[in-house]
Amino acid sequence: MPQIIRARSLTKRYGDFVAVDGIDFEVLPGECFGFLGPNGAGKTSTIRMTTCMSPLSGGELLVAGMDVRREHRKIKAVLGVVSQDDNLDPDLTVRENLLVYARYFDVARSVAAPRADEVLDLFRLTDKRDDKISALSGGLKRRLTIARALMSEPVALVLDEPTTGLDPQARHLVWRQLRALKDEGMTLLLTTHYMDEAARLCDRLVIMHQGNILVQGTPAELISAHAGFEVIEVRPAREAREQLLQMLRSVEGLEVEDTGDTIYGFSSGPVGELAQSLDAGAEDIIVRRANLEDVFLRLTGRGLLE
Amino acid sequence: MIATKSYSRAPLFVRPNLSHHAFNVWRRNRDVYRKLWKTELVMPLIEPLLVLTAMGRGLGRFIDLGSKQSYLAVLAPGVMAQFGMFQATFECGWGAYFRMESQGIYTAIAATPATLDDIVAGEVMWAATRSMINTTYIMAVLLAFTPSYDIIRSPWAIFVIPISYLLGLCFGALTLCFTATAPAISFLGYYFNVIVIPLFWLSGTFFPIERLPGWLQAIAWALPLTEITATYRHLLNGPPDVSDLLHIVIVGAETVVFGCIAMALVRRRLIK
Repeated sequence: MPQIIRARSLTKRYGDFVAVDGIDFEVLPGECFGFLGPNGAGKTSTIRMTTCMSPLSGGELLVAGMDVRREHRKIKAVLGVVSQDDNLDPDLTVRENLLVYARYFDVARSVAAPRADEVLDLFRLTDKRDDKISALSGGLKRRLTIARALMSEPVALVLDEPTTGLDPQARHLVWRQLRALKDEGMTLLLTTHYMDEAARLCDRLVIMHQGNILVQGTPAELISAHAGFEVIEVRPAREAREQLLQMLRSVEGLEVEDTGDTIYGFSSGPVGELAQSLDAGAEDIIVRRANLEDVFLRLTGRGLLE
Repeated sequence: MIATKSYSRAPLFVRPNLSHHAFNVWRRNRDVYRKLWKTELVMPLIEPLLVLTAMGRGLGRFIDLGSKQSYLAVLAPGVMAQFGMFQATFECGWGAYFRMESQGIYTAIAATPATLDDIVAGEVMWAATRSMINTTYIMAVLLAFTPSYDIIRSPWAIFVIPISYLLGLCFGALTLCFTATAPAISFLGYYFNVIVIPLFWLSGTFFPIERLPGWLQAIAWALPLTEITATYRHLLNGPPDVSDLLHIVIVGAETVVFGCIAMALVRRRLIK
């Protein structure tokens, strides 16, 4: 299968500022591909170039085999875009939003009407169908924005921070619906700065930082390669700090990182027994599985990014 | 490093990228108008009547034109042109600003196969449609006044309606140039007070513009309202002449120029 999206040396500059610094990536059909990174990492610029909303400063970008520099109308016709801000049409009702949006894609009314009812049902918006947009909560708006992007039956959905600003219930519902779409074979490209979101949704992801891709792989690969299996977090009492640090550093296979506040130990195996042996001198000890946040922080440093 | 074309902002001078999608943008505005027209009825209905009543019946009583023609009949073509202009101006001024800036509708539509140029064209076509609706309404009012004031004297007057569409295109496009450069919505107030309101007074509606100093006449003729008012005047009274054809051509050309500038400015504002 050819890639849905293929970028080579993709670059975006704003004046002297390099927002995207020659990145390469590929999105395969049916996968959920994530861009993970802090604000300003270049995620949104990449998405905007992919959706033909922002001209390339350099490199090559193909979407569904088409060059974004030349075939933007055709590319936009096959992508479903969910932008960061809900730009639903406030002068139209929920259902009208879907119908009018479908019309921008030349979807015939006779096709759009049943499809609108279908996606309303899928996103549990049927009882809101005649509501005004201003009456919807943030979570409902986001679900409607995703539903709207499906009206043209796109080959891929592009979502820029799909759950930013949502409450936990709404986030989980959006995740569930995105997973359901993926199970049906939809290709998803999303950006997020939530590590748990990336871990839950993405088959493969890249971590971006200052316009570059630091690493890419599956969440499990990245975690095991860059953070290990389990993590021990120790918050030492002040007087016991040096002693604890020394002791941890002497443990074989444990990579120790001292942040000045908490001491982290990354291990490729379980660290439960180690934690038992440390009880004296530590105010707090946490043992947990390594996660993407560890990967991210180890790669980008714990200092201030901005 | 391979040299690639690099720019951080959208280039200003490229050929407009237009398609039938502009019509889908027009239809979006039409659909909203169908829902909300009752809330927008007051200005288009009341204001022309106010001008016609105050100036035509009120002031007109003190005006002796030295002919049988009523002052109301003198005002009529200008009032039709002005309120067509106003409607197109509001649509592509405040209306477009809200859609572009507050509601994010331009960026939402630009993610579909429509281009920003299609959006501009759709907006301007809609402004023209509103201009035509408004002019048609005023014409109906004038028709009702005609038995007493002898306003519409020729069947040629029917051509006022398609020309009001052209007038709307021209002012819609001109206004959108200002909307696309407006740093804040209050900026549109300058445009309205510096360009639209002077046109209202100086375009030959209330008095023949030959009464103005030469330089002011030149400015008045440079903007489309004066041409269209003169042509409406001819059409209400009989067949048009060659000058009217010239007016249409000039306003048509201005529309194309303003339209291209508006597209370039909207691209510059929204493509980053």
